[in-house]
Amino acid sequence: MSWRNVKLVVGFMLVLGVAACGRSQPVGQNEYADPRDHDPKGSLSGSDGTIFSNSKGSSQQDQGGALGVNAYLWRGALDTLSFMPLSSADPFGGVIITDWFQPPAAQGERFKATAYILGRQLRADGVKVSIFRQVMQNGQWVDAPVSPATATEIENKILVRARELRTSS
Amino acid sequence: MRKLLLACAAAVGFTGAAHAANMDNPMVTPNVEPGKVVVRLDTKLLFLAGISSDKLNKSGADKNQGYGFDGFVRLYPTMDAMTTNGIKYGAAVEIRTNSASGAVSNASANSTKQTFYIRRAYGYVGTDQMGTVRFGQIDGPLGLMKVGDMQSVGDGGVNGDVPDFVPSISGAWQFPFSVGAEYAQNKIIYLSPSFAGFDFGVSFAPSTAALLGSVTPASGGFGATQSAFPGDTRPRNIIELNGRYRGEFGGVGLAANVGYLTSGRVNDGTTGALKSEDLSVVDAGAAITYMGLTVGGHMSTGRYNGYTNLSAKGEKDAMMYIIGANYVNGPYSVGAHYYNGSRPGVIGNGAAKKDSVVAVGATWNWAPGAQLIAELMTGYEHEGPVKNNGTGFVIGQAFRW
Repeated sequence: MSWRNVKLVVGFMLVLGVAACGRSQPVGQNEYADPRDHDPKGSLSGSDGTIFSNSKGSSQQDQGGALGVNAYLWRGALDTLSFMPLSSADPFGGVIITDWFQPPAAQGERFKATAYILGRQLRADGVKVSIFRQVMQNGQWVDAPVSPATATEIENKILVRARELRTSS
Repeated sequence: MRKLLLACAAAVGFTGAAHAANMDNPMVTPNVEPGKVVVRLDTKLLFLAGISSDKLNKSGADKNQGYGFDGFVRLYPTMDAMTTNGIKYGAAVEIRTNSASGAVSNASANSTKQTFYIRRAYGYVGTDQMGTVRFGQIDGPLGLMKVGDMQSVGDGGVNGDVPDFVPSISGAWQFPFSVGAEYAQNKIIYLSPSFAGFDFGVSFAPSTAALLGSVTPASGGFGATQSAFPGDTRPRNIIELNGRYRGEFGGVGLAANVGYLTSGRVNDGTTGALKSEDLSVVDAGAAITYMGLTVGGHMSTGRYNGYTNLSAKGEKDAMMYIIGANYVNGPYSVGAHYYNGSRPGVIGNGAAKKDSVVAVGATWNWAPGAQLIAELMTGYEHEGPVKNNGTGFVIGQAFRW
């Protein structure tokens, strides 16, 4: 190897070293090529499962773990709804039910939320949220209407959080 | 908002689409939970039926049959794990049936095609923040991070199995990261995290020795610096560098790579004017993806003689390129590519070896783990007075589990 090539290699390393000072993102092992095995694979046993494990390589990247539903959406929903007391959470059925929550700034009304994770894929339509609202009238809680935009906003917050988890995993 | 989220999902999808060769690689890391070890055994079986019209089928005393069957089995045992503090580690092996074939009187005998060999075998350790170190018999950064190798449709194109049916173009594919070359060298590799879409890799191989073998031929074992065989010219101290960019702009995915391969060489005993030269190869590629359509190309040029073979003083630079397009729609995909290569060929004969191949392929994933493929290919290999050409067509069924 000539001295010219050595200098080229050292220069390349210095440039990349400077670049490395920036904020980094992980690169998955499946983002590198195998020259001959590039065709879609799938599995005879369905989208999950091999004879030794329940993991399935790159498909697992989008499905996000071994839960019954997408793990990123699941975690995103838990994080988003964590300001409310949790009543029940079924990670395999994909259902999160909160208890009634009374915002400190809005005495006289309370909210309850139910989130449904609808599948194993990380999709924008993979989460559905229902919000219930009650107001205090004559010393009793009675049901009251909720703006449809409220549920949509929470769904969007869940999707944003799921995306953050996906990109950082 | 949802459109934005879907666009982001499209960008993530492009990350794979622009690097079609990267997706669904059996030797991948599952999303391992901390403290867990995941062991897998993936398998691929391919059956091919092909016909060909080839000049070499009719030349000389031997007559090749213009139709036949082909196929193989491949095994991918892998182990992937993560410590509780986030260190990822694992190992992978690729085991293949030998590709060399021939007349076999007893198919159950130990013929060449009935044996397995280790094609890749490596381990890795890394973290999300620091990157990954791989070590073993595995592709270097040129192979791992290449962009624009447009052969992901059909049977794998010029680097696939159709040339098995068409002897005239069986030696056309000669990129440095190709069969029997760069990936077979026992090396150590560093692969960086991504910085604003950029990532890079660097590798070092002290010799052409494989993980499980010795330097062949060798006069002094591993890292031999003196060849006992006059005219045997092989590289040593092989260094690869590759930088890659991947990004998405308004639904359009862009990817590109620029790399360089250099080496020293074993002292050769060649007498006379023919002296081998160090490897010095520039490698680059680019691809653009939109709505399932990917257009791209890749090239390698410099001082080498195909694969990672050394060139010699007085020989012209090698130049190889491939351009093509693929379109994917659900389980269906179609693609076409054109490959052209020029390299020294036989050293000292005064003629360059020139290859050209055109291929069109299609793939149908008709069920999970089941894939029907078809590919048509025609091309030539010329060197001085030797002018071979041929055409082949295959249909095949692949199973993966």
